[in-house]
Amino acid sequence: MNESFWIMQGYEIYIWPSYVLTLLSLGLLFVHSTKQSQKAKKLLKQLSKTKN
Amino acid sequence: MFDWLANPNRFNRITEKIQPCILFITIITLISGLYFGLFDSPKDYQQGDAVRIMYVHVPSAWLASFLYFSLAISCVFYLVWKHPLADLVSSSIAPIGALFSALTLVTGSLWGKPMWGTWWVWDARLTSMLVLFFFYLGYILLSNAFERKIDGSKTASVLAIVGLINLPIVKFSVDWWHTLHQPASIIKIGGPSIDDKMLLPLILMIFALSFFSLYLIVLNVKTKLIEKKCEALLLKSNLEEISKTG
Repeated sequence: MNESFWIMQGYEIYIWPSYVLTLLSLGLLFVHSTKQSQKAKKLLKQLSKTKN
Repeated sequence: MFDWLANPNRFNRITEKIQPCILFITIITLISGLYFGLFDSPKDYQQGDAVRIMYVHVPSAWLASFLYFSLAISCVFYLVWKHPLADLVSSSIAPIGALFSALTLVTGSLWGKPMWGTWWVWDARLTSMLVLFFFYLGYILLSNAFERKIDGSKTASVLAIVGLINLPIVKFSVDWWHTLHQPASIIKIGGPSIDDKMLLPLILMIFALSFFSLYLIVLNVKTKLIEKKCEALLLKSNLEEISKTG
């Protein structure tokens, strides 16, 4: 990958933050939702065990 | 049809099968969209490489509007037909839509600075998108503001439906008023006016973010269903304890 790709005609300080911010936000949202789901499943398992 | 979909067990059974497919499509379209957007698409003759911001900005804006429409429709189902899953769907859509509208504002700002020479203008398109973001925030805040969950859901649903009026303003603001923001170049009479090599990554990114949203909405609804089940179990065991001691 050559240097001009990263420099993007001098617009790199606008382009890369846009991509990083978008992908980072999507990644964080994905991790958060997955963790919440696992937490809920774990709680349900515990409650079902207690009930039995 | 809607009654058929309203059954939580059936919803769980169907989504269990399609969730991996949705995630797979998301990953494939995201990787190819990023590849074509960053490596293969041409520079704009006026904007140069700065046009590449379009591949994250436009899909975010499209999703912010589409998700709001879905949120409002879901609220109608909740208020009018008392659809059991509708409130869970609305509350699952809201944070994702809020994130996309925030991303639209930030990436738009990052695109605006080198092109317009300013981070922000009180232009009709930008302002209506900011209002859309506030509607999302309002929905989230209102649905959690009441002691009884049902009161919050009802009030927030009314706000979401009122906010529908903002969607045509977001879409047509560039036609109704003189704005700094460029007019529509994809969904317009006469077809898209952008080059096919630019249209391909744009469509791929729109697909990627749409499938990503769908995956998260399904996941969040399922989580909320489990949480409801946990609440019911806790309530039942508490009642049993009270009856024993009583």
